[in-house]
Amino acid sequence: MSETTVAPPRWTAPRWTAWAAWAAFLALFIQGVVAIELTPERLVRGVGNLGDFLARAFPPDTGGLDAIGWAMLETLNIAIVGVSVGVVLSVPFALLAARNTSPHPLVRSLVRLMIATMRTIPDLIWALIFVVAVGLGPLAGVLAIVLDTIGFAARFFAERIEEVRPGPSEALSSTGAGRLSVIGGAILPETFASMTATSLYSVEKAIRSAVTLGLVGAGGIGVELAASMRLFQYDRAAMIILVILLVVIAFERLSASIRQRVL
Amino acid sequence: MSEVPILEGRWIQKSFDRRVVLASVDLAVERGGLTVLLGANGSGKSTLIRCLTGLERIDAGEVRLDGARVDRLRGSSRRRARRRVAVVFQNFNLIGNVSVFQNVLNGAMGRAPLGLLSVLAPVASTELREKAMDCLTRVGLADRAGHPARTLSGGQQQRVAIARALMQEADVLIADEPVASLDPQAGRGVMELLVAVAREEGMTVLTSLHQLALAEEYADRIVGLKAGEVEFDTGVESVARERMEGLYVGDGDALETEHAA
Repeated sequence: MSETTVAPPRWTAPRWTAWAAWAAFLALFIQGVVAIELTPERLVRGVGNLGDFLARAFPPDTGGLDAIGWAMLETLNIAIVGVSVGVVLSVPFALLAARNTSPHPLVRSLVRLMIATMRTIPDLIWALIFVVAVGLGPLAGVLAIVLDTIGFAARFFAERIEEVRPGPSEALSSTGAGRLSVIGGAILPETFASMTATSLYSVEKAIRSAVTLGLVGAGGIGVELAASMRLFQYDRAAMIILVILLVVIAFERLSASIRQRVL
Repeated sequence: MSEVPILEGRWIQKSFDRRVVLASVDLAVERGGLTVLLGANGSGKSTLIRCLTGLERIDAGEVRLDGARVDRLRGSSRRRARRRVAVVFQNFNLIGNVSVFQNVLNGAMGRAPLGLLSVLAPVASTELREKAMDCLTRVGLADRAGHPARTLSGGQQQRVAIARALMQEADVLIADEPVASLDPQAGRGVMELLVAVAREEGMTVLTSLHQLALAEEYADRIVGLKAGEVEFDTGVESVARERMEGLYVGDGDALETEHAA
């Protein structure tokens, strides 16, 4: 009786694995701080340089606005084409990867592995690879966005498909409908709203990454930005950044209002 | 009685994780009429219904449709057999964000040549579209055709599910607790509709219920199920009311009869 009334000890020693994990984390952290040579002088100099950049960036150069506009349009093209193809391809990928719709566990593992690979490799690296494969320009950017979108959207689509309630599918297969009819008639409509939301988020994500893809030569406004920075045309760079900011915010607004209407 | 039963279960056994749900159930349903499978919660009636409709594989025994075994079929022959048995569920199982009209059209998915592609509302044949409206009129919901299914009340959704079953042009309609999620009034409406389907469309209706009063009011025949076995069958013997009430004795659902009356 007295044994059960004793409160738990104030402190229990962590397992040695926890000690090891903490030690490894601290070691990496300290080594990191040393390696980046964080010193007061460098920080002060950095602030000075930043001030210099800002001074030269303002007022932004409105002169090359038409060229910037065209480059921005190309970025949007890359994002829209890439994300559309990516989202459409994500649906079959997700159906093959979801437990309840996959034709075979082996297919499922294989497709999940493909999706994971597309997701794990960052879009910039895909862009570098496709620049090598198809040359500089927007096509490389589109392909990078397609893979990046599948890696993201197919995973969420598959998770949503696995959560779908089994009843409506049972109802349709009870009519004697085939597998594909059941998927198209019950599973896709039931998951439509969530897939739309994921797709809209993919568009936002794609526009942001289409901007940076230009930095590695995969087309769009990033090419212009990289060039301006390298030529120290900071006022022009500021203009480009301003345009990017406006377009990204506008698209986030737009997608938020569509999402509200769909859900 | 010399005729072959339209639906027949023979010595059906089914267990889940070694828990025996159906010990050995024999049930033959003749053409026409409304048969009620009565039992308390946990008596195995839902499992029996799922076995008869092919939604569960049986461990042992046979399911026969019009004399032919259907429980071991696969692929397209299995789909052909399922087309002849329409199923109505406790929670309706409509596609919520799709129109009532499309939900009814879906009933023809199994018999239409191209499946889904033949029954999508914009491209479905005029014949199918008119048939779907007829089915909706039959259940009194023609004016709701364009509404999303989820905006309807429970009773209305179950009527749409029955319209979908009619659209299937099946020989047998099997319903699993079709009124358990409905208020008493809507439940009565659905039961009356099922009786009408049996009387006027000449369909064979088999439905499970847990309420004795409803069964007594609407059934042509009551089969009592208890602990995974057939306890009585008014189709072959006259059964005293006390014996029917006995279905609910021995577990926590003894008050179900009061609740229904």
